Amino acid sequence: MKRSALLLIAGVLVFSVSSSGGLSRQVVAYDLKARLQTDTKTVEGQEVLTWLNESEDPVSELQFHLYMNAFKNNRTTFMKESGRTHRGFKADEENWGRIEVRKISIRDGDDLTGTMAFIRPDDQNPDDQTVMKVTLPLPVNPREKITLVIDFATKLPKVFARSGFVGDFFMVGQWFPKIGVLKDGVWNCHQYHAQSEFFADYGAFRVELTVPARYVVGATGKRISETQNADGSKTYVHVQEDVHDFAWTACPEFVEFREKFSLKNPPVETEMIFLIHRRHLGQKDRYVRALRQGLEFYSTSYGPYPYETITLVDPAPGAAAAGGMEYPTLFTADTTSFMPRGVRMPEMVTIHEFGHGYWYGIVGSNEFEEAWLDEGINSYSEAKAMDKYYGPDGSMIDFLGLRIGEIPFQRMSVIASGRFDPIDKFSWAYVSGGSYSLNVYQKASLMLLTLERLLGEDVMSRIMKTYYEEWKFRHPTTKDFIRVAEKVSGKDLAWFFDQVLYSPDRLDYGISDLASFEVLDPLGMFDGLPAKETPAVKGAKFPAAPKQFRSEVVAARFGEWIFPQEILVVFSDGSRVRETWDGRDRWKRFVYVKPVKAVSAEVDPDRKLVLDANITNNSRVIERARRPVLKYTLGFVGWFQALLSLVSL
Amino acid sequence: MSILACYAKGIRTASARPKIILLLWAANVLFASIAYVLFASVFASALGPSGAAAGLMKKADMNVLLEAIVNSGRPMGVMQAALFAVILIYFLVSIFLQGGILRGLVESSPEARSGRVFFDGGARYYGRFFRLAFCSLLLWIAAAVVFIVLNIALRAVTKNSTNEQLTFTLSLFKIAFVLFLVFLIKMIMDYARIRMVTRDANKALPALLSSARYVFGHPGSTLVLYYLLGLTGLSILALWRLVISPIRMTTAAAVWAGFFLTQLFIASRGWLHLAYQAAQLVNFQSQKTLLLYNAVAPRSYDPHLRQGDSHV
Repeated sequence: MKRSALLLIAGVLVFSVSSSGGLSRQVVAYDLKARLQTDTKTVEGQEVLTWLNESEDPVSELQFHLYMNAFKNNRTTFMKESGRTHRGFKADEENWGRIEVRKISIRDGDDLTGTMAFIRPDDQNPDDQTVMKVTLPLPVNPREKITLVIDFATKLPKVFARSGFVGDFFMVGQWFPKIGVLKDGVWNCHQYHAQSEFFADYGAFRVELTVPARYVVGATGKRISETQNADGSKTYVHVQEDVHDFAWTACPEFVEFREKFSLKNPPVETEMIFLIHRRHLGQKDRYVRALRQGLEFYSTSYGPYPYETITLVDPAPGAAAAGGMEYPTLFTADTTSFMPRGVRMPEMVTIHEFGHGYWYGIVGSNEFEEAWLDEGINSYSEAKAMDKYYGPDGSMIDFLGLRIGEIPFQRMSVIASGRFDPIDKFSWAYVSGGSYSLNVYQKASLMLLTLERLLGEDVMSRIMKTYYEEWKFRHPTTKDFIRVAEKVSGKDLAWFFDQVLYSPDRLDYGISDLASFEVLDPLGMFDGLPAKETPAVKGAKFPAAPKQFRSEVVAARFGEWIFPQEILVVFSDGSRVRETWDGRDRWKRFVYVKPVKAVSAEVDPDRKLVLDANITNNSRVIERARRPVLKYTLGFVGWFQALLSLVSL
Repeated sequence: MSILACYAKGIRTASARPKIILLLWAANVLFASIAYVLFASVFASALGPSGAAAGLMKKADMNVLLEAIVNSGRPMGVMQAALFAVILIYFLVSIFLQGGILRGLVESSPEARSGRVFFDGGARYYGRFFRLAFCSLLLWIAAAVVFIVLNIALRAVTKNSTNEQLTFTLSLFKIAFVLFLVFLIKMIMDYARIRMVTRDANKALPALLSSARYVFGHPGSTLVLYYLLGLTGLSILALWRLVISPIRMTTAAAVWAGFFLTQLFIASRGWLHLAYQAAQLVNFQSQKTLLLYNAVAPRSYDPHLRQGDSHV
């Protein structure tokens, strides 16, 4: 025991807190060596991990993510929750994945292998081995660090959820034992769930990757060396500071392109690296353009892209399950050989996944617990970027006359959804994958677009820039975002966020009634007043008084959320009246007596409330718009006639 | 008679029967008018009182259109069911129309073009053609089995394939093959109806099988004629799209103009239908005449003479 203690002390180095000159506080430093065995689809690895105890308490237990064990059998938490299907891709039961920790020890010290134990902090599933703990013989004191040496082997599954292989294409993500995040003295180290992504501390990576020489390799960070080995393999060394993960890819069919990206204001200098599968070379220009757009949009909107490289990986045909995934300074895009230009999926995925370099990569929120902070904010950013570069009407699809913008597309998901979950919730606690997706992606994005329209684009821009600036290379929470939004806008926004983030209800205001009728002259008997009689002579008229019309507008709250409303009433002479309503009651009536009739009324006339679940009920008109109904009816009838003629042919 | 001659005869015959074309168009419009009422009521309830609809004349605002559809779930469901019923009834009516068309085409008397002959033919052959449609389920099932087998085989080829071009090409091939099967069955049905009328045959299944034998026995002439007429239909479709596409549907006049052009297109479908029947009838008769001439002796055709279910 004494010997162990001495060795532990030798292994524990006193660490002067603060960053090592980088942009983030370097809590971890990984030195990894990996060799890809292409025949067995295995990565043999050694990890030297240095971890800093930033807490105020001594730590005697370390927890690690072993993500690849999610693919070990059909009873892991991931497999149970997903039904062995992820985003439409089915797990291959002949190619399971796993990670085996063969040895873990303190450098120059105790062997901790015997203390390894799997834990299930989220669901107690005995078949889940995605989180491991080790017990230290002596605790790591505050502001001290410990260095561990871990030997491991990772068997890659056939890719169906982000990582794995297809043929000779390898996407190697979440592949090494990754230490959890010690937060407020407690380990934040969740199991791998079907509907969750990742969370880790910032630090520095140095990774040696050895692969057969014919393979083209891409990886997080900058390549500092490339060595041809005697055994016909090649070793690539990549380094990167201020990131919280490291992923890499290898495929002999990749064609590598490199281009510089420069921006003057704000100053950005980076190298774009494209690894495009040979069969997708026809899509190269789309990728290049979209990545340039992403770099420009995010740099100007939030802050200059801070890394020296950004790598776009185009997954091999058949490996789409690896596509559309973000890793620090590297992301996977998605396309097919026959993707029509007007279907902007490659552009959308490229901008979205690059954007995660900001919202996940640089601003490192917890994707397990508050996925909206990266997915929602990034979907909002992506929608704005797509609208900017491709026009709001056809930013998603502009093909064969069909034009759909990204924001209407996002609205469709939310409108058609049930009301089971709020936006802010643990990722695996949603009623379904669909509910998770529509809440953390689309609804959160619409929330921010609504907030932008309520506060003004300039204020929102400052909120986003401030949030980015204050929380880059740190781990913000929802409360931090709200705090920034309130500070920058100078407004109490609790009414907004409390409803939208934490309630599964919906926003829906509309005009329930609009009527306008002439105010008639008094006829009949009025107590205490001289009765007005009809003229004695038939056909005679009272002296003509100017006609007056009583117009009534009833604005209504159909949904549960309470939002202040503006109501625009338009009269037949073109005059307009703007009303405000606190939106609290279920309805409010507005009455006007004027010489002209009201012809239309509309809540939210400026369409600020993008979250409103039904904008067709937002307005009413006295004269029904018959022509559009006729136009679309005849259009549909024409198609139906053609169908009938086919039936009878 | 050559295929081109059959084709030309079919086109000429169809063009000379404007009343039947008008009747086919009218039947189509009659059933489409039910769809009009359904579409109009759903659109009117979803959009009618909304100010959002006003902008739809100038621009197809997907915000409004998609939301109108999404928020009209129940009416849409009812409408779908009703439209399905309309299609089914139209299918049954089209069986009647088939009988009328063929009777008019084979009738050699001066009254051949009269309404009486048409409706008499529709009524006379309705039961037989209905049974034929029922028997054709055999062909549809056989086609489905063939397609399933092909699909399984192709899936084995494309499983784990990293060749998107191959997968894409095979997908196109599958679509083309499905269309081929559909058209093949429709063609066999056409010849079965022709056989039943020209031979005044009662039994549907033997007629169907004989027609299948006939089609497989004369694959060149039957297929070429069928696809020649199909090409004519595609040309008309392309022409219609060419004419209608530049029209900007932003005014009521333009909307009505588009609708009337669509009606011309629908009428052309009736014309094409007639051309199919006429051309295939000529082809069938010329082939049979040739066989008879070679085998026994020429004999004249009398559609009123019941000849039982004899097959040549």
